[in-house]
Amino acid sequence: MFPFLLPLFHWVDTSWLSREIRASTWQFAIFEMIHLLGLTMVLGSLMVLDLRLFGVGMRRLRPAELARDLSAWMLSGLAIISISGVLLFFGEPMKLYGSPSFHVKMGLLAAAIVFQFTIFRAVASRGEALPVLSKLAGVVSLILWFAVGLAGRGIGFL
Amino acid sequence: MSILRFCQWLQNEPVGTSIRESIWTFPLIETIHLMALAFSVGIIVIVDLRLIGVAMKDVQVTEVFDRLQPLAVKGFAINVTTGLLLFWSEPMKCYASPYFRGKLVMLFLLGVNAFLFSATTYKTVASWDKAAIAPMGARVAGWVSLFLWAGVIVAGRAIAYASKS
Repeated sequence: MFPFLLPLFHWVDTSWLSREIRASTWQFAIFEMIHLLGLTMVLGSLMVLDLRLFGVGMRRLRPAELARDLSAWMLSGLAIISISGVLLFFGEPMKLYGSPSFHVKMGLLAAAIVFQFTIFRAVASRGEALPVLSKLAGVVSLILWFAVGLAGRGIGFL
Repeated sequence: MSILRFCQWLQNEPVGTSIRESIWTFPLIETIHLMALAFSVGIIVIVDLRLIGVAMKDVQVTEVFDRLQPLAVKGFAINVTTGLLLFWSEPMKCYASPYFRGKLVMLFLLGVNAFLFSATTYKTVASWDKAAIAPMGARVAGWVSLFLWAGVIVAGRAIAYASKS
């Protein structure tokens, strides 16, 4: 799909780690399950924060306080999901190269991460001063991250 | 009627058959199941983290419960609905799957855990509402919930793996 990236996928495909994961029956399955657990942590903490921007859920806390309380969990979830994601990538690089869902997912993921740590962070920390903007940021954040999840599930189909 | 007979009968019901034989219906329901999982279990994890004393320690426990539990229950209702439809479409496969059975046992234990917690430790929440570290009963309930939900997710994913081989 992106021919200039093909050498990278080939290199991964011939790496020791990739052969190791493919040779094992259980490694891929285990990484996938860890990936799902990480997803629960990331989307769960994001959800609580995004709902708060809408005045739903933890209403007595200011968005900035809630963001601070949850950030450690979101970041640990993001670490778990990234590491397991890279291992999954090593488990089937050539399949992923040919999967439109994977390319869409990586694009959405890049957009979600950039949005979350720039615009979203700036707006959420001033949640009450910017009521409309913070709701908008909450919606965009949820759409982006759930789209990442949907595209990820899509890899199994397309 | 035995459970096996029930599954055999359900397998041949038109609703389940139409889900099973359609190209898009099963993946669509499965995707909704997965998104609702991220929503409901994600929120439950945050509540559990408060119970075991690691997240939102400066927030009252009742505040966390009153605000988040209704949301988690709504998400879980979607999980139950989509889960029943998925089961309906392949009852015989589920019947034969040890992962499916394990998942049901863990869901049952989660119900028992929630019931015991609300019937015992949570009754006295007024006395530890503001405590950063909740009493032993609450911490145990939080850890049990975290581990069982992780088990439910792993077992749920494994149901699909088992069918490939």
